Amino acid sequence: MSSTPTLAAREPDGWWTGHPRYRNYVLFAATGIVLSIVNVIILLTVSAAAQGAAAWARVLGVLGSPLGLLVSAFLLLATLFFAIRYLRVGAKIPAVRLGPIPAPNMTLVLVLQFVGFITVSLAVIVALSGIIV
Amino acid sequence: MKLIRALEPLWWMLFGAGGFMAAFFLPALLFVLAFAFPLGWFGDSTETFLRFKQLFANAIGKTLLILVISLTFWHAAHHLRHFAIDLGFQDVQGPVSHLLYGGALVGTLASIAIIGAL
Repeated sequence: MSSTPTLAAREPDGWWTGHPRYRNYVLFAATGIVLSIVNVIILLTVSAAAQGAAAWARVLGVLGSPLGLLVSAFLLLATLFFAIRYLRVGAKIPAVRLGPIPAPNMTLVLVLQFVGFITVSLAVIVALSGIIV
Repeated sequence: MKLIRALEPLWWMLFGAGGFMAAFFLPALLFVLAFAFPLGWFGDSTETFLRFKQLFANAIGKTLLILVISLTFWHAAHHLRHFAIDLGFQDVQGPVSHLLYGGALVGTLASIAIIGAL
């Protein structure tokens, strides 16, 4: 091995824009920030509900403002991007992690996960819509 | 940093569980709380206030919400930690990990306190 001093290797600037797969990988990782912001919004809403009807109406007013809706639209798109990619990646895990046990059909796992996603989403929306209660 | 490395299986478990909680519940919750409720699609604010409390101000509703929120925080922390490593922050992995997992712990405690008070 040469003793000539060399600079440490580093990624070229803007490497993540070089290929759609890199870009999607980085965007997926960055959704960690989005999920945390969504969590904070939900906690603020819950906190308002705990304080009473006036605080609840105030929070809904902020969320319903043009800026609130714009921010929420971005957060919803990013959250959906996260959900779809996470479920697609999640379908690949059982195929490589169960060792000697025969791997389940990846397509079946993928379909079941998306059926679960749609079912849970509809259940949440229907429960909060007031159709049932 | 040794402890964080030793607990790696736990972080991955929280990452997996939190990812599924976030994927299944957050889009619908955000849609309702940020669009359907403020825009009056599901009734006026008094109606939605009463309905929200009816659904979540009980042991099952609170437990579900706490699980969704806290596990999502742990998922995000672990994901961002590995994102930081990918971006070349290996040298400061210790402080970054403490900051992110510490944030997830604060988020968990805050969610227990806030949702518990509902």
